[in-house]
Amino acid sequence: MALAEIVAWASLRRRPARTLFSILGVAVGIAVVVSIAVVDRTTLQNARPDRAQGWRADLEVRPAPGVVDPAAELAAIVGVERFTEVLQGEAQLQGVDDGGQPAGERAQARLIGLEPAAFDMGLLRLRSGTALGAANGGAPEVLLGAPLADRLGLDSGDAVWLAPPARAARVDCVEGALVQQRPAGPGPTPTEFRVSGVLEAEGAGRIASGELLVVDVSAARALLAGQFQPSSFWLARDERVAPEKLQERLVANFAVDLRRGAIVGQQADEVAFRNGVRLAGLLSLALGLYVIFHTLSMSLVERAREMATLQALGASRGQIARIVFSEALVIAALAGAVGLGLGLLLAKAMLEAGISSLGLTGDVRGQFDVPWDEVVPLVLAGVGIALLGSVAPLLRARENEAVPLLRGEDPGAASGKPGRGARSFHVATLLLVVAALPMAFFLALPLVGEAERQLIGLVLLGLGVLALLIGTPLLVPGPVAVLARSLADPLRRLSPFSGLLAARSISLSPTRVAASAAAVALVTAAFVGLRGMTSSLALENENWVQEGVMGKLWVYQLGGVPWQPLAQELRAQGLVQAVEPLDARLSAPFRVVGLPVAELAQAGLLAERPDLAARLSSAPSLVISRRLASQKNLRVGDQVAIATPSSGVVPFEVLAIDDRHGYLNRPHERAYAFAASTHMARLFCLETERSDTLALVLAPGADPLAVAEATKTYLRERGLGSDKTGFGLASDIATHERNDITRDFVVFDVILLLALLLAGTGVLNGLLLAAMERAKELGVLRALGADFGQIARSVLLESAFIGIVGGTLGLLLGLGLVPVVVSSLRVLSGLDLPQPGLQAIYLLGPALALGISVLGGLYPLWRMGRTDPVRAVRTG
Amino acid sequence: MTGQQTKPFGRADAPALLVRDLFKFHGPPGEEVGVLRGVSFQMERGEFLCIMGPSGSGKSSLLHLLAGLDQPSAGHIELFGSSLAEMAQRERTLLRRQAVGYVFQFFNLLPNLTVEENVGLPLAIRGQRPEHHQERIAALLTRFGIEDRARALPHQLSGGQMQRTSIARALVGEQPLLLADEPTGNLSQAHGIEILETLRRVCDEDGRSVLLVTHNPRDAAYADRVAFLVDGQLDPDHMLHGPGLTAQSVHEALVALHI
Repeated sequence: MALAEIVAWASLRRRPARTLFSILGVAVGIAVVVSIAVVDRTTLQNARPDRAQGWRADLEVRPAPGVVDPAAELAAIVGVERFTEVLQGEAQLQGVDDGGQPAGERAQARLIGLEPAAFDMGLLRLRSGTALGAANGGAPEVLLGAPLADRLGLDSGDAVWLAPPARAARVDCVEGALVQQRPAGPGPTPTEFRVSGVLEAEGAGRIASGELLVVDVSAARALLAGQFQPSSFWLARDERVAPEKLQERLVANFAVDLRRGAIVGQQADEVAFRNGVRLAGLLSLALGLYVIFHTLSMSLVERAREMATLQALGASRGQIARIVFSEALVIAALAGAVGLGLGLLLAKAMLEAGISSLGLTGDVRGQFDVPWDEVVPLVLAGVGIALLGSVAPLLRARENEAVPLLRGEDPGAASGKPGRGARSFHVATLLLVVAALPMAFFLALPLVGEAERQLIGLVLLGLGVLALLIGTPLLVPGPVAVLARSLADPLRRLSPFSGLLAARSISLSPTRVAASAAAVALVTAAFVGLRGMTSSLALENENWVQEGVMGKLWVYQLGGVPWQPLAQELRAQGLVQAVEPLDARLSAPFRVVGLPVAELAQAGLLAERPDLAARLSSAPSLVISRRLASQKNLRVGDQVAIATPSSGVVPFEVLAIDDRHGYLNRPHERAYAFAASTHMARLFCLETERSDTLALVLAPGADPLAVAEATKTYLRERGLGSDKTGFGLASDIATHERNDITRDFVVFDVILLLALLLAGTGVLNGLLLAAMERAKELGVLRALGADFGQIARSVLLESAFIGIVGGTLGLLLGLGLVPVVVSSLRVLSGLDLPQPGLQAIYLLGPALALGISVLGGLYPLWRMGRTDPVRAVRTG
Repeated sequence: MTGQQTKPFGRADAPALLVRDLFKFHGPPGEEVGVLRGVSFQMERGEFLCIMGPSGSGKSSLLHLLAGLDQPSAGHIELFGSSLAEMAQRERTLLRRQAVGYVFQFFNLLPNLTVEENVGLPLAIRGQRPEHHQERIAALLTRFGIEDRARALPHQLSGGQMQRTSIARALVGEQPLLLADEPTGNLSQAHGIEILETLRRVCDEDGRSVLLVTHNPRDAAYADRVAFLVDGQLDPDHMLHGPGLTAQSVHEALVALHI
């Protein structure tokens, strides 16, 4: 074997614990970020209904009345990456005979007119043929959906005739009545087209199940001439801009419909959550690398002496560099491979447990999408930085003068300064962990959404805390030593012998102790910060539960019963104050429920504010929920444009922000609004007299079970309802929503647990190396009559000291972080989050810190127990 | 490894070592302390020279300079006719690799390497594969009585075994000059004698030059010639050599020098 192989391999093989913990430290960090990338990608892929790649129509907008040049307006809006005008209608398709005249089967299909930009947006993919070209004097061109082309036996180059369908005019809602719209102008005239290609059954090619004709927008306009032609635009969003932000910019001139399937994970709260998961992953990787660098730092003196010996024996610096590099490469490569494997296993386990990057859901079970484009760079970044962190200081150490090292002196002792190797190592550690690692991490796994001030602020705050905790013990060891000495002094009083030993060990190695405590503090601070965040979410949820849920009873699947007689009956029995029929609703641009104003005036907001009831009835207007107000940044007095089937875009004024009316939990949605049912009926022709779902506002003191029983009796006596009619208790909904927060944050708990293990590994490594360094001293103490229990107590005292100091520091830092995190999250997520105040659960952080630190002391103790005192004395 | 060296190393007419007006200062500028202050001597090929001096007299510093590990503040060193002053660091490293075997007071065995791996280390440093030189390594282990410890790690050895391993390591590359820095300083008397006899044999049987620094008169008695380093200078009036060189005469010289 060559020199590098001999020395590097021997070092790895004969120090299995150090090798194992070095590999594990990096590997666990890498595993966390790999698992996050896999879980996140799987979550998003799974949530997209069609799992379509490249489907980039994020929003559909319709211009408000008075907008003359919508294309120019859209082009000027920041965050609109591309757009195409869309005209939709129906058309008939027919082949041609030998004379070029329409012949054969007629097929009716959806006609879509698009601009050429649709191809750039990835909306259309061709199975065969070419994109739409200019007519150039010849026949205009058409793309066919695959099923349609296959059924009619058509392919590229074929000639076809298209015509508007000769059918009954469409029915529209006009002033609350369904009215037949007679098309104006001449009857349908067939136009000859040439088939330029056939679409894949993906993206827009799936519309109308592929029974689809796509032509240029001008050709569509000509074809549909004389018909009602609602013009709309499909937009592709700049991915750095959150959908809500774009929507805010659009809402002045357009009615907006989020194409939800294409932008799963992009809602503000989802973005905040996913970014939180990513930042937690970065923390774990940083911690893993820090632990390893710290371990290497402590073994630096030994390694530097080895290098000096090799130098004395004639080894060149190049040879020494190769030894160092070989060893680091093996550790980093193994850590990368193990980390990748562990990460994939962890991701699989998390997905099987229903843990997604958007919270806990059963939907991701059985799914597994590995984003190799993110995973490979992440692993390489981890491996690369581990390699740099391992090699740089040791290469620097080889620059140390061999002479003092051979004498067993610190190379900088003569000048009164710390060794160049140790100092450069500390600087390298700080730069790598706080600067290089985050940069590499965010290149491989960027933050989701727009780079908002609050998000950047949060990232910088996190990095600042990281730098503070890591940098302080490494770069200003003097004050840390003084602090360590004064804090460790009371240990002497705890136990005369063990306390003395522990205090002395801490005083002599303040940097080691402080670095271990810093790792523990980092995790504790993250724990407290996270618990603060979840407490705030829980508090916000609780406020909403009290206002919007408690005191109500939901009735489902009534089968469309007239709700007013039921309301009168229950009110007559003194069981309810009001009834909210929840079926007159639409979902563009958000859920809007039409509620009867007279009914609402019996209790709650409208009972308190009769002026609001009057205004709701008189003009299209909304009362919006707090969540909707936060997410859409809407205030009282704002106008919300809502597209109607026949009246164009109608502005609705926001009259109030309140959660007391209109909540429906199937499906659960807290961002909603309600309007007077009269307007919903008039503008959208929604059924308002009958309802399938009701929310009963209970009379004070009414037993919900008694109300349910009375409702059942009413329905049974009148032969209404169905076997499926069911009830939703407020207490059940409240419990579900409370538990939902806990479930959603399981992914953070998993990451924190792994980070805690890493911090524990750091404590373990520090104590282990210290124990090995002190083997001779401990051997002497054993020889002088100290029993193992006394020495064990000293180690446990030291590990407990690290846990207490780290835990307390982390608690204090975490308490400072919570208000900042909550404030930033309030902006980032669009949630109306309150500051949580002091929570008892925070104390669990320091308790866990103490526990993991004491656990970290057990392995060094075990190793010390196996050390022969005679050998220790002789070989120290 | 018992045969005589057949081919002289370096310039054939040059001595093993030639040192002239060697100075070495330690400490920051303005506060320098002179460790060596004008040391001059010559050492012939095949000679066993001992340099004695009290702790802190600069003995180890002198060895580090002779091995090219450190650079003098002033003065001239020639190893087998090659001037160290004119060499770049890399050339000094190559010369050390070829010409100098080093034995340390604290053994400096690599803790993760076995005895045979430690012994084979200089060969690996030269780019040779130690497994191709198993016979040479095994012969050295046998010669120094540690053949049954070949697979042991340093911490499993006695002090004497560690130092014998260190000497075997210094000899495996057949370097013509052996520098021994207080090699018995950490050993019992019995183990110390064993090491000194080994060094004597290396000189007599292999024809190597051995430069030993020590403060122990017993050790010095094994040398051909003894020089005394006092206050950073070699005392020309108390050089001992020839049949009169015994532990007693060395002791008397030390007394005379108030060491």
